Amino acid sequence: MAHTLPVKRETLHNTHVLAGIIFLFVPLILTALISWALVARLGIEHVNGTDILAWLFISLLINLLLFMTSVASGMVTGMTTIQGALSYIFLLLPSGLSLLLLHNMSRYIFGFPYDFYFGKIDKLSPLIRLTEISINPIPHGEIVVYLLSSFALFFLGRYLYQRRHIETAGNAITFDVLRPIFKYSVTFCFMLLLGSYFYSDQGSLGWTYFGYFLGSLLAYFLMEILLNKSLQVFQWRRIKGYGIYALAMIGLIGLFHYDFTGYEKRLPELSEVKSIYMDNFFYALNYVQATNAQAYGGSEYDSPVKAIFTERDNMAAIYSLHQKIVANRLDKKETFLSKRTRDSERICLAYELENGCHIYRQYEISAPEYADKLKLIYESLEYKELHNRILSINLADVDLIEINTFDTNKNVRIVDPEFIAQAVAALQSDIYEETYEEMKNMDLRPPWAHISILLKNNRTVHLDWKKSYLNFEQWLKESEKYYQARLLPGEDIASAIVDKDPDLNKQDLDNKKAEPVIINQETILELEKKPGILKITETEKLELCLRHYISNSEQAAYKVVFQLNNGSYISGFFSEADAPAFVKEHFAPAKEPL
Amino acid sequence: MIEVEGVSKQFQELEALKDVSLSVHKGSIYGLVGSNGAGKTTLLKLLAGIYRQNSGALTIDSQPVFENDAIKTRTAFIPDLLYFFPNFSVQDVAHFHAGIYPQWNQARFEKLRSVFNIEVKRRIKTLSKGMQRQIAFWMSLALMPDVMILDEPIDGLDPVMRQKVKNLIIQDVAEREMTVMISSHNLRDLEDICDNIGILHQGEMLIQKDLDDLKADVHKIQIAFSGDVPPTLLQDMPALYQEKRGSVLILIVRGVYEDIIRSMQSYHPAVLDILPLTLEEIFIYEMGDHGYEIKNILY
Repeated sequence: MAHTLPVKRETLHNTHVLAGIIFLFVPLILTALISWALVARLGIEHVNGTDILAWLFISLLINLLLFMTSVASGMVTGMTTIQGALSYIFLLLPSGLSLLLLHNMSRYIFGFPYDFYFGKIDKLSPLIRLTEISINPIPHGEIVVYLLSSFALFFLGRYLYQRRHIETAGNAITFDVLRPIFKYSVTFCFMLLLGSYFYSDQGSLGWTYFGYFLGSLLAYFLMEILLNKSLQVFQWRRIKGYGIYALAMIGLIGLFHYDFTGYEKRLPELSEVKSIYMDNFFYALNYVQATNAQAYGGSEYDSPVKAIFTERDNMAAIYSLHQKIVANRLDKKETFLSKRTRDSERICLAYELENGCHIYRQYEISAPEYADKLKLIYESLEYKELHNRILSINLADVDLIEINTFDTNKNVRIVDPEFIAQAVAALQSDIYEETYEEMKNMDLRPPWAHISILLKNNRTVHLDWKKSYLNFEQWLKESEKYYQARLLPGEDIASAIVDKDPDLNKQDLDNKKAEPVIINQETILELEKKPGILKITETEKLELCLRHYISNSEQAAYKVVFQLNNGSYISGFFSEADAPAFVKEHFAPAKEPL
Repeated sequence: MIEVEGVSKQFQELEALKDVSLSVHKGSIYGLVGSNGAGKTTLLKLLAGIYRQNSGALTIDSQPVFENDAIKTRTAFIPDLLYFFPNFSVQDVAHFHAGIYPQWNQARFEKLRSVFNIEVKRRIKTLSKGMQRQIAFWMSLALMPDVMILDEPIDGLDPVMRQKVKNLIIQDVAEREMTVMISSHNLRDLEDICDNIGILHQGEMLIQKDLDDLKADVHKIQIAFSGDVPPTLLQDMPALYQEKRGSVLILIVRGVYEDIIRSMQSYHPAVLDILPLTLEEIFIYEMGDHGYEIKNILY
């Protein structure tokens, strides 16, 4: 009965908040003092007073912010559980709602740059922000924002407390005006959440709509039950309320569905474009250098290169690709929801216009359909230079080149500056000559080895020695490192067994991933017993097999298992087209028994 | 002293008070009567500054009550459900009140100890319900309030204590011109102390009366004639209520005592008797005028 006392609500609020702050702060301050005493006494070196002070300060700040949030949300509700839920909702809402909206909008808006915005929303919530505090310590600006928010929440809480009718303090929502807002907001969020869930799980528009219906219906009536504190909510009046909501939502989804703003068609004039960012992700564009890079465990990672094209011809090529995607959008709209396949490629575009505006788009395309456009872009010098660090490498920075052969522990280390220069030059020429098809590794041949170029600043440039890098292969041969750098028939590989596997062609086409085949001594013995298999031991044939085998079963006609001298196995496949001639010959009379 | 004008209060869809007005003079006792759920507690909590009205004005000494600590300092409120801090002893509660209310009278608190006769070191939660209510009175009286708002305060007190408490209140009203607002669902509890009575029913103020006027104004008459009742009698003296028991006619009439006697005697009745009316009876007959069946409202 504190409200009978001759004490204003303002005073009640202030004293209660003060008491809360004391209860929260005293243990933290004590902990800091004890830690400080322990560190000083025990002489722990890698913790100093500043660390403890920084920890204390951040803990106090975040405690204050969370406390003020829950005080303010406590004025809006009279139920402890809802207060807890609301506090977290307030703290997460900016990120959570954005995420839900983005996720759902990317369903309806063709080209919606979900990844671009997704990279930005984690900054909207202090709770999510906290998870990366060790990497990115809170800068002064953010401290000010948190302090100001705490103050604002304090005054908001006090204002609400003064306005609130005391008798509503047992209700789920204490302000009548907030009841419908709360009800419809929760309904909306649950609709989006279940829609997203069913979409991600089932991948079809029908299921998404089902998720919307189920989510909104459940949330709507649960909210009614909660707000009225009664199960008797299935009345015509409330059902009508849901009906109106449903109609509004159908209208909204329809608007997005039929692109009422022309967003999907909108393309800038090519003449106004200053530059275009094009990549398979927006990561590089959103990337912010961690302020506390040491926390990553060294500065091994370079900031990613932003693939921004400025050459007129390349921009025209990208523009024309974009035009084609947009022109095809109506056919794609139905299918752009379908699951990703190996052929699909994500195209992320960011135009910077002369007037300083930006346009962002993101598409999932089926690469083969746009191969002609993509080839033009990918084979351009600009693309190669943006995507291959080795093309811009400064030879003076290179410490060492290491070639690690796959499937064995063979390796080559190049330290001689002259050799380094030759190796880099050979790799560069291979990359300059590389075609779109080779770049995308369309023939699916696994590379020979992994190349690490270690730089003086502790960074490393990574790339693969693909089987198509013939210049590099030639250089290795000339410098007599070739046999150390790759698997060799005879020396490393004892034999190979090829089998025409009829099961392969029957594999479920939807499930295009190769089944993980466990190869061990037993399966080899079993395979060897199989009639009609081809066992290869000749060096030349093994070399041919090594050069032509592929890692993916999708186009496979034959299965091949290499037996290595070190006791391990490599399993792979041949496609009908690329299989060595002697393999085809062996299996040509397919019906031959035994 | 206390002015309530056109006050309405809603609890979501329920309208607890509808356009209630009343006025209590300084140094008088106002009794608020009504059945359960009539809105008594709501009205008193509004006067105590706990609730805020949806419309209308509530003032004590011409000042609005809500969020007004100057007025609340001078007001003592005893709610129907008492609240004490956990583990507080009588002494602690007194100490707490002394800290909050500047006009706390420690001497009076000590003096009242003999009336209530409760050990001050006892923890309140160990006391019985009736004793807790006594503590509430003890504290409220030691506050030296100008206004006392009591929500069904007599409940749970034994008859001796009821009388003691009533006397203490009346004493304060007489000596310090304290103003009292008291509620009950029973008219009989209030009839010996109230100056004014108001009856609340379903959130509406049905009737408000000054008790002295009422008692002087309404009379119960038993009258019998040797022959038939003269027909002009009832025209002369319109009755609030009439009932015939055998040859005796019972009338409830309004008017000045002497006038009624004179007028009755002019018909030369065989028997003429004027009987005292209980407060309950007065209200029953008064309310008959308003078209309400009082038996459904008061118990």
